[in-house]
Amino acid sequence: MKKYLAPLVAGFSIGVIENVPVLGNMACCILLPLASYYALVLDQKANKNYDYIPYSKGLLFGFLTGVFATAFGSLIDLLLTYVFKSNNFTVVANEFVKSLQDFPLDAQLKKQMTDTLLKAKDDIATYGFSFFYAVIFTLDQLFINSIFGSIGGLVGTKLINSSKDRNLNNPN
Amino acid sequence: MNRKIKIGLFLLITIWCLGFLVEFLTPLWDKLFYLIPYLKQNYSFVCHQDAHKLIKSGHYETLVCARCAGIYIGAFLAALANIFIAKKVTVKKEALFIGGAPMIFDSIATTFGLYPYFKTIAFLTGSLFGVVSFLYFYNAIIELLNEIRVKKH
Repeated sequence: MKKYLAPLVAGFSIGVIENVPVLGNMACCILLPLASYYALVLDQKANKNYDYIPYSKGLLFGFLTGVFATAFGSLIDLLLTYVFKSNNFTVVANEFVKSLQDFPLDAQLKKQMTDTLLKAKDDIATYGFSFFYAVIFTLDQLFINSIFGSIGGLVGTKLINSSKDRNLNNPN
Repeated sequence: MNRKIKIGLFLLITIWCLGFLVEFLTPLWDKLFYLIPYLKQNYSFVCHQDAHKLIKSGHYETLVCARCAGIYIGAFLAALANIFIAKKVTVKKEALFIGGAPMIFDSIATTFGLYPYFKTIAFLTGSLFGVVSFLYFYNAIIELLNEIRVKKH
């Protein structure tokens, strides 16, 4: 486990940030790739090993950063939802139900969609938990975070290694 | 082998782009409508989705802002062009920062009110960053594949 302490730390940081309003929206596209890069730097510092980083390690670290970010992020989100009985989804559901009326679509389809969303929203407002929301939210976050984490890990490895390439070419 | 990777990446980016353009596709197949709340939530992880920054046409709008749409469309175009370019396009780290500079400048300038938010500028600067960052990412993928090949032999 100690081997993967750096992605765990970086993932936890992002898991917390993901639950901060406004900042949370940028967590994935900007902060998560940066966290993957940071995990690699942190690992180098912890092990005092500044050698060339294998790309497979960069990919794994990025992926794990995304997975840990999801685990902590989802847990914190579900806890906050349970306490406040409201979250971003309840706002999105409301807005979507409103905008639904403008769509030139079948009335039955609109009703089915509205019912599903309002049921999840009501469950959150009443019990602070919706199974539909919990499953969709966690899987969703896992999918997105692991992709952006892996991208960050690969790009981060290339950024770190490119400095090493330069130092090797110009030893002075 | 590289061509398969190029096509694979292109397909993945195409699916990602179709995801945030899903509202525009509902007239073609109305069952796609079921995906909208799910995808809207999905893309909220990567974009603030401010209503006045989304690209709109009639009843439909993108699920990400103009800048994010630009980044993904830029990556899509670069991935498409990359399929037909046989020569390896090497992108240095400086190019990544230079490609991202206009987008960062635009983002900071509009945030601090130097000039208003223009969807066209946000989209174009985002596209430039999307093209450069895709090529940089593609170079990293090639390095990863080379590493795997070396390990196998």
